[in-house]
Amino acid sequence: MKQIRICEAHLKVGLFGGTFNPIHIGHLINAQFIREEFNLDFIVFIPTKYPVHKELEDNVEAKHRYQMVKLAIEGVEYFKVSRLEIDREKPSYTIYTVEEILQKNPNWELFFIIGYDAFNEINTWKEWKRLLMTIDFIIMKRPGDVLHRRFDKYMSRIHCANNPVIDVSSSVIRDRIRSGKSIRYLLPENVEQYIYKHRLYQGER
Amino acid sequence: MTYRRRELIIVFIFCINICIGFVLGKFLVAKTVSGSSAISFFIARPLYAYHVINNKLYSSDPVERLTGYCTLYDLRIVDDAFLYERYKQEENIASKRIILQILALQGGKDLFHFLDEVFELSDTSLKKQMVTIVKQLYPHKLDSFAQKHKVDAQWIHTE
Repeated sequence: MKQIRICEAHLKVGLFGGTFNPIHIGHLINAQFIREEFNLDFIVFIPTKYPVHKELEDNVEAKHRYQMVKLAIEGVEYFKVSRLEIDREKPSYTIYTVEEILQKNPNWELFFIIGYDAFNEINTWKEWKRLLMTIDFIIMKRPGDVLHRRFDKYMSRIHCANNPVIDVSSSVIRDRIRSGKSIRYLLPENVEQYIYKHRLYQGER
Repeated sequence: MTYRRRELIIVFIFCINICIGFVLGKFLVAKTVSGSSAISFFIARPLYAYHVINNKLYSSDPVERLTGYCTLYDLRIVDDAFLYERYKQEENIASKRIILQILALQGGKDLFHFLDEVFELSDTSLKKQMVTIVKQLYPHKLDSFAQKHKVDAQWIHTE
């Protein structure tokens, strides 16, 4: 080997990817629980520019979704937000994001935080096997959820979180805004103000 | 020998090389990468693959090396002994973890002994990963492994 970089101390970092359209208390509470359960040094929220696997509802620009995440985690030193996927010209493939992060921070131990539903479809992601070999996955499960057997071989890199089940979703929030209902308590107050100030999610579907 | 006949022999040898490369290519690249043979240098087909993998595996960039390990697995040319050695040499956690995962996927016959050997020298995350591998691949040896290395019972039951 020509040269081996020596990195004695390493940080345990969670990567929380998603559209965050908008970010809500479910995301934040789960992130908080997972950080504590897995002793993560910090969690990086990574809003995607255009989701590869689903349609982006209401077509809210990435800059707004990024800004809402930034507001939601304001003042929390162990939550950070990244523009990595937003600023990328190419499609938001997670494998590129992970390799880019490792390139800059080879001593980080990465944990990708993902919902059970999304994880069970991970075999549709670009280079999913390589991804499962490269980083750990923390899966937010609900009682009764069972992982597909195709992932058995990768179990040493898959961890199930004991996260609380919070029945709040971004789609519920968008629907409530559209129908003029209150979204108080469903997301941080400054995010709520941002949504109204920029008149997000208020048009027809 | 006429010029035409010599030309035909060259084409024939080239074709034979390509055929051998298709049949034995992966095996020869694996042997060359692990340093136990250099024969693939003389065969046309594996040369390019060797060049690419070699550059990755011996790169000073940890992410390049990491993708090199994945490529070994993708091409099914994993050499367990080579990865055991690399596990000990690698300093960054991501590389060590990927090597363990590839070894687990490979399920080589010496893996248990390797885990037994390096367990005490590894940090907590790696130890947890090793326990999961033992639990999955060697369930009948889990108790003795856990006892010998004083494994936290929580790791066995929660992961």
